[in-house]
Amino acid sequence: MTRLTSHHVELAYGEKVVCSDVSIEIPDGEFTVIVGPNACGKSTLLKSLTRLIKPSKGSVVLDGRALHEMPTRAVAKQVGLLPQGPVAPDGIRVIDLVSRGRYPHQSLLKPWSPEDEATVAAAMEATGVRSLSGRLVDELSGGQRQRVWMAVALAQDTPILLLDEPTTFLDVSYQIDLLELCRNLNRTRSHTLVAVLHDLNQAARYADHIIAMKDGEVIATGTPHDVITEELVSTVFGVNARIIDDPESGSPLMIPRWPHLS
Amino acid sequence: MTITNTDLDFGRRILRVGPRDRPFLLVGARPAVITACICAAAVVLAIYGALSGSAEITVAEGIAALRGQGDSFTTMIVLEWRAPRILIALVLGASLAISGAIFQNLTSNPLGSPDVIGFQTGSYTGALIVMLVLGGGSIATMTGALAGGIVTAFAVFFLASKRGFAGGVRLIIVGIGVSAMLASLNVWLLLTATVEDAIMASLWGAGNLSGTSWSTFALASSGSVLFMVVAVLLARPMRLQQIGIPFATALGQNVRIVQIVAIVAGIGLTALSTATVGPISFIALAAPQIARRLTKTDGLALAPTAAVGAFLLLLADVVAQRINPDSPLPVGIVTVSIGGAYFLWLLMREGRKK
Repeated sequence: MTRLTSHHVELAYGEKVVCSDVSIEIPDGEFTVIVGPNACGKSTLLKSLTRLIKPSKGSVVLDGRALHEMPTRAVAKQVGLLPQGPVAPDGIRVIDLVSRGRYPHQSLLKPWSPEDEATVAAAMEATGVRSLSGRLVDELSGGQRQRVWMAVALAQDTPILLLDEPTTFLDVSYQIDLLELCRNLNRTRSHTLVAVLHDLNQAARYADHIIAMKDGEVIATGTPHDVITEELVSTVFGVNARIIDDPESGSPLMIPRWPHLS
Repeated sequence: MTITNTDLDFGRRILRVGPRDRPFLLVGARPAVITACICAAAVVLAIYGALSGSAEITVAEGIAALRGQGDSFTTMIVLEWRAPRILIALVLGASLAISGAIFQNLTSNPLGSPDVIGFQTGSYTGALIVMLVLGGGSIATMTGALAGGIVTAFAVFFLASKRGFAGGVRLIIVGIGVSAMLASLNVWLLLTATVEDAIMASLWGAGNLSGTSWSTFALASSGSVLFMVVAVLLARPMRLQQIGIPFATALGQNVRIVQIVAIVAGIGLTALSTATVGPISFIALAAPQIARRLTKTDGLALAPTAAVGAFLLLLADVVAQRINPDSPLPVGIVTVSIGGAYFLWLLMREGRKK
């Protein structure tokens, strides 16, 4: 089953076409990772899955309905997004930031409910920031801050969650923490996750499903073992590499070749 | 209103509004208390303003006048002269402050207030054209100021727009540029006028609450209240935009509509105020920032902002009238002076941080 699909979409910023004809399916309950070199359109494709960019051709479909014909609020209850480099307002506390994630569930006459409070608490629990709840976001470390942003996205409480480069600019230990958190959410709450990641080996380890892109086109989709081959790494990333089995996880591990041997 | 402690740490005291088991609104205790204090201070100041001045009136006489039992002289001073002036200071102070909060939120910049962006300079240009070139009366001047402010606002937004929406620093810089051009146009208009006309026009341009009548109060406040209601409805969506347009969109907000309504309300509040009493700077710029620092809230805090704005404008007007009773100052001069002090304080504070 796939709730979220895109059919022959063309994505453009003004005149500049980034993707000309892309069709993908996001498998339900799986952790999908989009990989590809810089400026290949992977973030653009991700954004199109929750109406941040309207396709100039084709359509993104959620449960059989075109995303851009659905009410914004209805989409926001199904698909969440953690954008790249979000900005925290000055002087905001963790709990207030996480509470912003409840927006689509609130209204003018019902600005706050016990359900909101419970979901916010659960989101902070799941991301391990509950003990920071009353702290100022400015005082937190980069890793803690990214976990707080994850909590904002979780507070939105959507079955499908999109993450735009969630690990960029984080120390490697925080990157692993965050990916473990994603895996956990996916396994325990059966969230459908879609993330754009830079590190191919991290993608291979954590993803159930990989979408490899280059120059605005999808080159390959499938399990890490299907997709990450020496040939694909060479075509998509232009890297001459060996693929071996990761001795820890058994997933494919890319090792660039060492050209200095005789 | 009940105060309960859940196990969630808000980092501050929170008041829960609504039934004990299903509160529907959370309010920070500190902003609520501070807003109440500022309102109380404004009331005290209003009473002082109504009773003191060139004709001293006792509390008993004042109350008698309010109940319609005073002598005709006291009644005229309190009810016809002082009361509308005090009330218009409170309403327009709150309007300017809310307008400032809206634009600072839209531009995510503490300098992004309507007086800096130049809407008030545009209003002055409109008023000057009516007063000096067309030779209209006070209603025509109001209309001219309203039109001037709105036209300037559209010009600034149009010039700053890049693919749809104008935001942030770009809007502020374009605003400062347009404002500087209009300011020199204003000077030229004044230089070409006769001395009497120029003095009258300059007095208008300094921002003045004197001569406020109940009819001007009714006119200005009905419009202001309408836009303030819009601002209150916008508070939650605008607060969401502080975490970025992409996030706000993903959270189901129709960002463009919120921005357009916010701009209309913000321009409306400033334009109405300027049309009624002339340009009054600094309130829109400083009130939201002062309110934020007093209440220690993140971003948009409309109630404390409105309270601070109302209090500040009334304070400035009382000072303007009492500083030299023989020749009262226009209130705009006082707000500009306080504004200078505020800027110095801000710069020194920022300097110390670094």
